[in-house]
Amino acid sequence: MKRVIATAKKQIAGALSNWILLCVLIASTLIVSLFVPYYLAPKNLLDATRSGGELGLIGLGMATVMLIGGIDLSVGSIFALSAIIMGIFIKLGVNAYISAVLCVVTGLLAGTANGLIISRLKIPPIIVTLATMAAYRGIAIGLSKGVSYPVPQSFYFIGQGGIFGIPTQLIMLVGVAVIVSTLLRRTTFGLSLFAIGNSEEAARYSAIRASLAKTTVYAVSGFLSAIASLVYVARVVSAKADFGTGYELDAITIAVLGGAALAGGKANVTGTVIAMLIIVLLRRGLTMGFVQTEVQSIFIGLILIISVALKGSLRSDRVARHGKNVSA
Amino acid sequence: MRRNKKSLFLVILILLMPVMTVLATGAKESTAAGQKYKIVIMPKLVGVQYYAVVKQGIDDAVKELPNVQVQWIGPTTPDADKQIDLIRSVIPTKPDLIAVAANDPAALVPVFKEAQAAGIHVMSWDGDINFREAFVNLVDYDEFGAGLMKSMASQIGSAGDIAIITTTFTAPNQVRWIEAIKKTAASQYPAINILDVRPAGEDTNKSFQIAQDLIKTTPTLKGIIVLGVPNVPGAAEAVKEAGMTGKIAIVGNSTPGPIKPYIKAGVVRDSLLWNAPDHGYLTVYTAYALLQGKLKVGQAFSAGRLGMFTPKQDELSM
Repeated sequence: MKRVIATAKKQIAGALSNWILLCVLIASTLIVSLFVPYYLAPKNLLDATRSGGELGLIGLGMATVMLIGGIDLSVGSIFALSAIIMGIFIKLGVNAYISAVLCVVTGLLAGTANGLIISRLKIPPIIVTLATMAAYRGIAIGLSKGVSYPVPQSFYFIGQGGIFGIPTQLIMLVGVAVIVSTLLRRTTFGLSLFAIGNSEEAARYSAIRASLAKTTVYAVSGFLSAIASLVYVARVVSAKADFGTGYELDAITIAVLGGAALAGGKANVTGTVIAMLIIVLLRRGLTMGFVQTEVQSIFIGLILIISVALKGSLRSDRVARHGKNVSA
Repeated sequence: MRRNKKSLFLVILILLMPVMTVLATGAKESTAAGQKYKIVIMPKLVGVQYYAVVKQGIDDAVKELPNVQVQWIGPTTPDADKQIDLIRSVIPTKPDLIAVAANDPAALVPVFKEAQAAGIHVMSWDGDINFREAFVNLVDYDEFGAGLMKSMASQIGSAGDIAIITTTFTAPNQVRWIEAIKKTAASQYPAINILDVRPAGEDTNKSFQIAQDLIKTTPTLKGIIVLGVPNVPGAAEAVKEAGMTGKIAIVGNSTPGPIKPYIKAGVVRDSLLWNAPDHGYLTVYTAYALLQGKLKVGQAFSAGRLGMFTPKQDELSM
């Protein structure tokens, strides 16, 4: 009976954490709308989420990687490399759709490479992805030599179009979020990731193939980074090697804010998406208020601290020794 | 537990205070009486001294024009994609005009078209865009490029190996200057070889590293033409540190402040520039003229303390 109550409490705590994030989102949006005219218009808010498409996708990949206790610092570089590969092929005259597929393949390969090195050579993920962060970026710069590649009109729909006024990126992101959430919560593979994240040794003793899972997870992260770069390139109609610099930090931010733990064992897809919305809508509001871009980071930082503090106070009476949480 | 929650709420309230006050000062109220033109001016990037200087000129112009209000906003790195996001965020604030110094002339075209469709006038300055109603240029591209090349030749002689450090390969003024430099070299100094062109963004450190690299790997290097205000002192420092003062010439466009110590040390002889604050000043006056419908090819308009300007073929230079 006690165990049932404890599990129920954990479930509620996980869901509550999302509600807190939702409250922070609504509160910050309302406060900003007091100072910035034209901000609260639905069209404006929806348009603002366009820039969150790629952030959300990379964040989901990061949350998945963090679930097993890993980290992927190379997402920004994979983002850039995929974009450059696509740009190069388009320039060579290859069909735009095939180039887009090649972009995704690049991400998949880059991510798989990460995964293989981490799981086979047993080098800590932070070191491996730190190295590939530099390597992939270097390849992107070397291939493109700083040049910007133009992108054809056919991409516009992803970047600037919408269905019934809802931006394409948002629909894509929600779709991917649903897929990831289902994968994590309802498949054996997904649940095995929680097991690995909680205790890799115990997972191995339960006949879970940790190496395969690890490789797959990093491949997924690379894959999502490439999709994100597709979305981004479609929005800014160009491909350049310095895209995505610093995105790994943004992704970690929204993953952690959403509920992932650096040590692993926790993942929260809804939370990650809401966290992305918080940051993206806040940035839009601050820009519309002409708050200087350098100063905007201070606000984002403040909101992050407030959100984490609020979530922390909720957990203050949750007994830590029960271990990690399962919610998605 | 309850005490925890109370103190937590207090903490949140205290944290929110400065947030609200800064938000309030950040969003300038545009409900002043009378018809005010709202102009948004966007530089290539913020946080560098060059554009801070340009802003001074803009502020001067705003003081002289009481019914013009300028909002200044730009990305922290010279990236066209960041500018696109910023412009898109600015459109719903319904300004009367947006003037952008573009980091890429083609990439900003779609968002400029969006702005125009929303009823906003679009203009470029410093870095041109392929779709705009007017462009305020810095200085004639060909003249400037030729000037840089001539200064270099006067220092190293009519033969030798040189390199060029630029900001980005997409900035249109960079492209035109490099073209002009190469043309002048080809026609007037055929024995001067331009070995390499490398981008350093607007980063003194990066320029320093690139210059160091060039000096080490090219023993025949006689000079570097450095484009981009923050880049020139970086390259000059590299020459100084390598002990090559007087042996490798540095020519570039830099503001007096950062370059003065290097001129004194003899590392840099010539530094070419245009008047940065005047450029900002002129941009505001041009925007004002555009909004009043007074900006037409061949028709002179008043630009305050700079006198009369006549646009030619929807572009004007200082």
